[in-house]
Amino acid sequence: MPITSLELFLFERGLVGSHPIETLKGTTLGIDVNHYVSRLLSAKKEQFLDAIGGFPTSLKMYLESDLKIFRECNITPVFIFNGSATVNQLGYNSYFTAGAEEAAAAVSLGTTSGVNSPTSSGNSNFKTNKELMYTQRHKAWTQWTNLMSNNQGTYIDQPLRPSEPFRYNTTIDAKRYQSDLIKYFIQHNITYQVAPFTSWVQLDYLLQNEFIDAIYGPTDCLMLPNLDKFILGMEFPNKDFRFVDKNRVLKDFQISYNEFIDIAMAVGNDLQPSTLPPLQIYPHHKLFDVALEMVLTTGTNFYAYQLSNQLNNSGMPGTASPNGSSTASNTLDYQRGVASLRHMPVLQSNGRVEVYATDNVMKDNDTSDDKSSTTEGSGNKKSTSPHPDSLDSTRPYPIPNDAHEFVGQRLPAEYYYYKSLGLASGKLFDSITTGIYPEEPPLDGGVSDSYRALIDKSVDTFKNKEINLLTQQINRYFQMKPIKQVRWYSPDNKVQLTNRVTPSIIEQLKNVVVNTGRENVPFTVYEFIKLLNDNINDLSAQFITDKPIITPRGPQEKQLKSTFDLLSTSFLRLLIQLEFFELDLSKKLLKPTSWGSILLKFFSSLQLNEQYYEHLFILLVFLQSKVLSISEETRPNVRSALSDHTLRSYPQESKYILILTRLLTLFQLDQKPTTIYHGPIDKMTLIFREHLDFLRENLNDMFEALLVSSLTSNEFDRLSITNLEWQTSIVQNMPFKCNLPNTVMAMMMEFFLQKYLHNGNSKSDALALVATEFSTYKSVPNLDEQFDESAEYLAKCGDLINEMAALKLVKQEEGEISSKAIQFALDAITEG
Amino acid sequence: MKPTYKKKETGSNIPTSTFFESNETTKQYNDRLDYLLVNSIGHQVKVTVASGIQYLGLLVASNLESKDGVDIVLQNPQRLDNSNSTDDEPRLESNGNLLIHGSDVMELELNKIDLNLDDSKIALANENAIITPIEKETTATNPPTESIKKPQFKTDVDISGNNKPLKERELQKWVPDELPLDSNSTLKESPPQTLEESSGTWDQFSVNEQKFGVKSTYDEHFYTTKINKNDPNYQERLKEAQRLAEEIENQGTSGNIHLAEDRGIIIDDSGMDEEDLYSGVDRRGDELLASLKKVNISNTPNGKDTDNNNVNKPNKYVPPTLRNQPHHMDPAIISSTTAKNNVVVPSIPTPAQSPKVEIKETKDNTETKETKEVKEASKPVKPNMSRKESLPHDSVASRALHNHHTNARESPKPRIPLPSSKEAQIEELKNFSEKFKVPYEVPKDMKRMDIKSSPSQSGNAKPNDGNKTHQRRRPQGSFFGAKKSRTGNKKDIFNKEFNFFTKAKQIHDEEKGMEPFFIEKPYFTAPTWNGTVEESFKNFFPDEGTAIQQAQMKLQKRQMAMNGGAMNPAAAAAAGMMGMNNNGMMFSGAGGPNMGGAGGANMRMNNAAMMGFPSQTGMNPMMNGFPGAGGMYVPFQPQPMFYPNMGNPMMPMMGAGGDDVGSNPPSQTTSPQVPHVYMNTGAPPFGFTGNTPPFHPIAGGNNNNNNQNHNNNSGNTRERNNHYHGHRGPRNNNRNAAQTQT
Repeated sequence: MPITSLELFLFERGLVGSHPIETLKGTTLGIDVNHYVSRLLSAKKEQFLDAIGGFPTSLKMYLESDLKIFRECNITPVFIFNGSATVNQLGYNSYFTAGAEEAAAAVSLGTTSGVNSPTSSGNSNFKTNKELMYTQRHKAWTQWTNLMSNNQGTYIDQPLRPSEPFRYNTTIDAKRYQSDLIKYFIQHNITYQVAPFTSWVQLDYLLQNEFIDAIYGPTDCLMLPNLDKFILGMEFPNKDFRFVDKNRVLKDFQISYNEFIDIAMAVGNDLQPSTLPPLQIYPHHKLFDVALEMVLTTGTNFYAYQLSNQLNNSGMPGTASPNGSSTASNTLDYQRGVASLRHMPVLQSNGRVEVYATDNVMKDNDTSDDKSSTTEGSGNKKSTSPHPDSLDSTRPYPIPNDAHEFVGQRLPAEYYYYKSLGLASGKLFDSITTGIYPEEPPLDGGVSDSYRALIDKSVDTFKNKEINLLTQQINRYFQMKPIKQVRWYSPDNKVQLTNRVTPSIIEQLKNVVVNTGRENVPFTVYEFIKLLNDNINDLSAQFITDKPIITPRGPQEKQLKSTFDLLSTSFLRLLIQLEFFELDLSKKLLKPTSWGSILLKFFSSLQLNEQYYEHLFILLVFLQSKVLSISEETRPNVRSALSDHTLRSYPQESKYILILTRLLTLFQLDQKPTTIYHGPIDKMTLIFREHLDFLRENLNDMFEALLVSSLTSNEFDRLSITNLEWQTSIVQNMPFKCNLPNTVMAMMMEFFLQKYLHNGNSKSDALALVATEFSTYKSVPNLDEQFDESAEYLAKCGDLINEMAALKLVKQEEGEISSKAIQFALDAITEG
Repeated sequence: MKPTYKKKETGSNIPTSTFFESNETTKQYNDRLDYLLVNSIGHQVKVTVASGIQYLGLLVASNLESKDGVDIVLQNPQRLDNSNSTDDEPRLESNGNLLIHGSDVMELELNKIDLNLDDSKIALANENAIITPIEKETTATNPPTESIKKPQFKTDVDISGNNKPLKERELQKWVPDELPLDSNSTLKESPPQTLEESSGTWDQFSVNEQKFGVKSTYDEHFYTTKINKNDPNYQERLKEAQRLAEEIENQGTSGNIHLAEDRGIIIDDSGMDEEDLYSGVDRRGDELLASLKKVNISNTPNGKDTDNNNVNKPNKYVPPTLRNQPHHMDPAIISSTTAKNNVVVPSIPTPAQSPKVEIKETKDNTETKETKEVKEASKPVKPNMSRKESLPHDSVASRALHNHHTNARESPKPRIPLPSSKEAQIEELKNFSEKFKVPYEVPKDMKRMDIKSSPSQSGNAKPNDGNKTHQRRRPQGSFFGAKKSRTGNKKDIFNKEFNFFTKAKQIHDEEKGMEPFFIEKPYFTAPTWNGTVEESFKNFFPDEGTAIQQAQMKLQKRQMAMNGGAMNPAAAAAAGMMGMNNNGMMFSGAGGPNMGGAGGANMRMNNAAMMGFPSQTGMNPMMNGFPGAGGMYVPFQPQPMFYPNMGNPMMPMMGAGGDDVGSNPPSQTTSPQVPHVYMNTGAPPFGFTGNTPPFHPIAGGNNNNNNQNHNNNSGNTRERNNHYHGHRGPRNNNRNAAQTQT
C-alpha cells in the first residue's frame, strides 16, 4: 500500500518526470512486484476475476509484452516479492481476526442502504482495502442473486451476465498469485526474489549495494533516506518511464525529510497503513494534500498530535487501530511505522536476514531549508536550537533490541532463504511468528456448511502436522508457542493447534526415503506414481530404510543428491500423512490403502493423461474428506446458474450438469490471455472450486512443511546446487503451487448443455451460444478442441469414479449417477 | 490584460481523470488531427493494431467521428511482422482494402506528410510554376491523445495562405486636383498645394464657423491641466520636467527605430522596410525573456524565496495555461496572454519605460518590487551586460544563443539524454554565461543589478507547474546522473549471492578452512533480532514535551521565514499582525507546563481562552484534544479547509493596490480544496492573516463546535477585535458541515 493519495498529488504538482526507456539500457532494474502487479491489474481490469477464480489471464499477457520490451532494451529485470507483513500491516489487514470484522461489516453494509456508496463516495467510509473488497464482493453477489430471481420468467437458456463488478477500486494482492508468478518467472528465466519482509526496502538494500541500478517501486520509496530517484511507472507503449526525484519533491513541498516522514506516517503508507487522526475525516484521495497544508500553515507535527491525544483514541470511531488489541494506540502504530522504516530486516548477499541499518541517515534538511529562506535582512534566525531527538541526527540509527515488536519475530536464516526462493509460501512461517493461522473467507463468501466442515477437518489433517514439522527444527521458543487457527466466521472461537507430538512427525517419517539417484528426471506427480507402480511389489523394501539419513550431523555421503529424490521423499511422506499409504515401521511395512491403490491406478489401469494427475489427486483428497459428495448440493442452498425453466423441465439433467461442472472445475481450459473475462458467472461452481482450492492450498502447505523439514534435517545436499538450480529443479517442480483453474470451462459446459437441452439436442446451436456468450473467438483458440479434450477428461473421471465405487470409496449411487452424467455430456459433445 | 484561463480546480477535482484539457485545447488538437489526417490520405502509413500486428499501406480514408478512436482504411495493406495470425485481426475487404476499426488502432504512424501541400498546390495552380514542396517529416504517434507537433511556427502569412507573390501596381504620386471650378469658394485663392506643403494656417474652428456657422466653445483646458505659469515654483518644476524629459530621451532608443524617429533622432533607415520600422514585433530578447520566465517559474513554488524582497512576489502566479510552455517565446504573445508576466515584458525590450517606474518608486512599493523582481530574475543569465554591444539585427548570433539557451534547459530532442548531474549542469551554465552577450543595448538601470549567479536555481526545472500528466516533461539529463556506471546484467550475481548455504560455506572456508563445515542449525536462531543497543525502539522517539516543543520551534521558524524580510509598509503591517497571531497561536499550543516560557502576555491570554472550553469529550475527532486540557497541543486544530495558502494568497491582496498589476488574479492556492473564502467574504485587505485562530470550528456537525467557537472568540476578543473570524466562523461552520455531509 503506497503512501495514501500521494501519487495523484505528485502528478498534480507536476513532480513526476519522464524519460525514455532506452535510458535504462544495459541496466538491472529492481521491480517491486506488488507495485507492478497493481499497475497491471488496475481497478477496471479483471472485474469478474473474483467471480470465476483462478489466475488473472491478462496478467500473463501484460507480463509477456513488458518482458519483451525489457529484452529489446537490454534491461535485466529483477522482481522482488513482498514477504511477511510487519506488525502494523498484520493489524491493518485484520490478520489476527482473519478479516472477521470486515467480512461482517461487508454483510451488514450490503444489506443496508450503504450498498451504493462504495463506488461513488471515493471509499472514504472504508477503513481498509479488505473491507472494501469484501463489501464489493458481497454487493456483487447480492445483485447477482437479485438479477437471477428477477429474470426467472424470461431466462430460459441465454445465460445472464452480472451487472456489478466483483472488484472495484481495490488493489489485487500480488500474494494471491505469488506462486503462479514465480513459476512464470522461472519458466522465462527471470530473476526474482521474495523479500523477508517489505519488498521496497529489500530493493533499497539491493540498490545501495549495487546489485541493481534502479528501483521501480511505489511512492513509499520516497521514505527511504538514501534513495534519490526511483521509477514510479512504466509506459511501455510509449517506451517511457515516470520517475520521482525525492529532492525535488521535498523542495516543492517545502518540507524537510523528517516532516515528510511525519506526514507519510499520518496519512498512511505501507509500513503504517491506517490513517491517523486528525486526518480520517478528510476525503481519502486528498489526504496528503490536507496533511501537507496543515504542516505548512500550522506547523503540525502529527507525532506530537498522537501523543497529546493518546488518551482519547480508543473511543473514537474509525481511529482505533484495527488490530483490535487493547494496548494498540495510534502512537504505537506511528512508532512502529517509523521504526520499521529504519530497522527493516532484509535478505543480505551473505544469505542471512539482518536488520538493514541505514547507516548514513539523511541529514535533516530543515536547517538548510531555513538558510535558504532566511536572508541577510532578517537576522533573527540564528537561534536554531540543537535538535535533541534522534529524528534530526545524522549518525546511524542504533538498532533497538526489540525489533520483533514492530517487524515480527525472527526465523532462522535458512527459512528465509527458502522463502526467498518461493520454495515456501511463507504463510506457515507467518503463523509460527505471529501465533495465528487465519482462515479468511473464500471468494464466494464461504457460507456453505461443507466449506466450514473442511476447515474443521484441516486442523487435524493438515495444520497440526505442519506446525509440528516446522517448529521441530527451530528454537524451542517456537515449539512451546501456542498457535491458533482463527476463522473469519467465528473469530472468538480460536482453535489451538497442537504442535507437540511425540515422537515428532519427522521422527516418524525419517525412515521413509526415496533414493533412486535419478539425476535428469524432473519431479512430477506422474513420474512419482510411475515410480511407485514400478516398485509396486516391494514398496517396503524400496522406500523404507533402516538407517535414516537424519542424524545430528548427517554423513555427507548418504545425503540425497537428486532433487527428484528430495521431492519424491516429501511426496511419499505426504501420502502417508494423508492415509493413502500405511506405514508400520515395526513391521517395516509400507502399503497403499484403498485410496492409495486408486492413486496407483492413475498410472496402471486408468492411464490418465499426465496433466490430470495433480488435479485429480486433489479431487481424491476432497472425496476422502467426505464433507460433500459429488452430486450433493451445498447447504445453505445456492441458486444454480441454470434457469428455473431448465431445473423444472429437466431435473435429472440438471443434476448431471451439477456433477459435470464440478468435475470440470479441475480442467484447465486453454485460454488466450488477450482478453479480460466478461461472460456469465456461476456461484455454485465457484463454491465448489473454492473447496478444492482450499484443499490445494493445504496440500501445498503440507508439502512445503515436509520439504522444509526434510531439508533442515540435512537429508539433502544443500550445498551442491546454485540458486538457479534451487529454482528450476525444486521450486518449479513442486506440486500444488499454482491456483486451480477458473470456472470458465465448467460454465461453458453448463450453458452448452442447457442450450442443448432446450434446442432439440442441436450441438451446433449450443456451441454457437457458448461462442457468443463467452466471446470464445477472442479468448479460446479452438473451442471444438477444448470440448473434445474436456470430453476425454470427463471420460477418465467416469472411469475413476467407477473404480472408486468398486472399492466402495464412493457410494454406489454416486458412481451410477456420475456415469450417467458423463455419458450425457459425451453424447452431447460427440454428436454430429 | 486579464488572463483568460480556466481554473485549475475543475481539473483537479476529478481525481480519476489525469488528463485534462480545456475544450478549446481539445478542439485545437482535434482540428490539427483532422488536418493531419486529411493531408495524409494517399500516403503510406503504418498502423499497429491491438494484437500487435503492424500494417503498412496507403491511407485511403479515415473516420474521425468514430466513437472509439479513428477508423482507418488502408489500401494494399502489408503485414510487417511475422507473428502468428490470430482470429481477431482485421479482415480484408473484397476490394483489397483493409478496414481497421478505431478500437483496434493502437498506433498510427504517418511519415513524410507534407503539411504545406495545400499552399504549394495553390501556387501550382496559379502560376504553373514548378515548386518542389519542401519535404518535412512528421511523425505522429497515438494521434488521439497527443498533440501533433507542427514542423515549425507559422506566421500569419503562412496561415492565411496569402503568400503568393503580390502583384504590385505602379504607384503614382498624388497630384492635387485642378483648381475647383467654383470660383466663389473660400479655397479659391489658396495655391495648389501638396501634402507636404500644407503650409498655410488651418484653423478648423474658423473654417467651421465660416462654412457652417458653428461657433466653437472649445477650450483646451477642459481637457488638460492648465499650467500655472505664475506659480512661484514654476521654474523649478519646469526644470524638473526638463530633467526628466532629458533623462527619458537620454535613455537611448536601444535600437527601437520608431522611438528614435519620434525623438527626432535621425537614423539610417535604408535597408529597412516599413514592417521593420513601424509595425513588426521586436523579436530581440527572446532568450532573455525565456530565461526570465524560467526563473520566475522556478521561483514560483517557493513561498520562502531566497530573496526576502520577494515575499509578495507579484509575478508568482503563472496561469495553468501558460505553465510549461517553454517554447512560447514571442514577447508579444506572452505579454498579451499573461497579466502576471506583463511586468516582465515591457521593461526589457523597451527600456524607455524604466524611468517611469523609477519615478513611481517613491509612491508605489509594489511597483518597485516588480522592477526589482525583474532585475533579480534576469540576473543569472546576464552577467556581462554591456551597453555598447548594440547589434540590433545580429540575428544569427542571437539565434545561436537562443538555441544554446533552450538546449541548456530543455532539449528540443527529448530522446537524447543530456548530462544532468549537478556538476555538469553548472559547468554548462558557466560556459554559457561566459559566452553570453546581450545582443542589444541594455538599459542603464539594469547595469546596477548585482551579479549573483544561481545556477542551481536555473538548473532546476520548474518544480511547480500544475500541469497534469499528459504534459510530456522533457528529460533533464540521464536518470542516473553522470557518474553512475551501468553495471549491466547481474543475473549471475543473483545466482551466486543470497544463498545461505554456499555463502556460509564460503565465509567458513575463508576464516577457518581447516575445520569441517556444518550448515548452521536453524535451532540456534533466537526469535529476536540482533540490536546494537539495549533499548526499545520507543525510546528513540521524543517524549510528548519534546515533540511539542520541536513542533513549535519548527512552526516558528517556518513563519519567521515567511514573514521575515523587508516589505513595503502595507505588507509589513499585515505581516506584523500575522506574526502576532501566530505567536498567540503557537504559545497557546503549548498550553501546559511544557511551554518554553517564551509566550509572555499572549500566553496568559490564550490560557484564559482555553479555560473556557467545554470539558466534555468531543465527539469530533478534531476536538479530542481538548478535554486533556493540560498538555494538549493545539496547532492542529485549525481547519485547513479554510486556510488560504500562506505564502501565495498574500499576493493578490497586495496586488490589488498596485496599478500595474491591475487585474485581480485569482488567488493561487496549491490545494484545490481550499476555497477562496476570504476573497469572497470581502475581508479588508489587511485584515487577512495567514492563520485562522487556533480553535477554528471544525467539520462534523457536532454541537460542540458552536460552543467552542464561541468560547474561543470571547477569550480572544481583546486581541482580535478586528479579525474577521468573529463573523466568519459560524458561516464557515455551516458550510463545512454541509461539505462533510455530501
